[in-house]
Amino acid sequence: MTTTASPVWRDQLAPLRYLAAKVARVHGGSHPAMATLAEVVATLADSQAGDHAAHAALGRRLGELTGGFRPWSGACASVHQLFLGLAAVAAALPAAGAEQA
Amino acid sequence: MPSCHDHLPPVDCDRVSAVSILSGEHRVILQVLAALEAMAVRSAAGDLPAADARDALEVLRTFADKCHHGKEEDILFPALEAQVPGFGPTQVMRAEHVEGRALIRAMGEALAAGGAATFADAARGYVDLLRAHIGKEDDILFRIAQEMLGPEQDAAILDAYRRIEHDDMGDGTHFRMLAIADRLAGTYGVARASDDAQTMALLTAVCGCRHGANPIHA
Repeated sequence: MTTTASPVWRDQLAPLRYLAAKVARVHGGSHPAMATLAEVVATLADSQAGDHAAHAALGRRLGELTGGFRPWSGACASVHQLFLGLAAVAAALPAAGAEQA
Repeated sequence: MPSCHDHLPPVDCDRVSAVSILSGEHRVILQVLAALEAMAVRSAAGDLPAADARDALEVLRTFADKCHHGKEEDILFPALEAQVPGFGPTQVMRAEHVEGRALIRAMGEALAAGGAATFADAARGYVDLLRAHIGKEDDILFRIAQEMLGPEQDAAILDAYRRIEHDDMGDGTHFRMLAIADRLAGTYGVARASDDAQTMALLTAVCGCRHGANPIHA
C-alpha cells in the first residue's frame, strides 16, 4: 500500500489518460499521432516517481506529438481540452536532473 | 430474484450499447468497492483513512450514484418499464439503490464524526450490497435488457447518457472520477479496471462532442 503524495502534474494527468484514449479512438484514423499520444500519456501516468529524465523526455514527446499543443484546424472540444491539459502537465514536469518538488 | 436467464447471452461488451456502457462502469465501481473494503479493514482496527474515505465517497456519490444510477433510473429502467409495465427486476434494483444511498449517508456521517468502527460497518454493508446488486444487473437484468432493446431505442438511450455525462455532470467530471478511482486502486493494491482495453473503450465511449448525430464513438 502506497501513501506518498503525488506531484501536481500526476493529478492533472490522471484524467487525461482517459481523454487521450478517447481522442485516439475517435481521431486516430485521420490523425495517427493521437494513438501514439495516448500511449505516451499512459506511460507517463504510470511512470516511476522521481525519474525526472524519463518524465522530461516524455514531456518533450507530448509536445512533439501535439505540434506544440496546438490542435489542428477544426479539432473538436475534446482535442482542445486534451491539448490544453497536456500543455499544463508538460509545463509542470520537473526538468531532467531537477530535485523532486 | 429468479436466476432463470442463464440461457440469455451475457452482455456483449465488445459492442458499445446501452447495457455494455453500464457494465463497463460496474467494473470501476467494483474497483472502488475493493479499495473501500480495504479501508473498512483498517477502520475496524481503529485506523480510519479519512482522506481516502472522502475520495471514495466522492466517487460513489458522483460516479456510482448520480451518474451511473442516474443513467439506470432515469433512462434505462423507464425504457424497459415502458415495454413491460410494473417490470419487477427494475423495481428491485431501484429499492437497492435507495438502500445504497442510506449506507453512503451513514459512511459520510461516520467519517464526519471520526467513527472508525461505524464507518467500517457501513462500508462493509455497502460493499456487500453493491457487489450483489451489480451481479444481479450484469447476470440477469442487463441480459434481459439487451434482448428487449432494439437499435433505435439503444441509440436514444446512448444519446441520453451523453446528456447526463456531459451536460448534467459537467464535462470532465466523468474522467476526474475515474482518475480518483485509479488513485485509490493504486493506494490499496487493487487492479485497475481501465487496464482492460475493452473496459477502457466502454468508459470512454460516450462523447460530449457533437461528431455528427452519433454521440458514441465505438
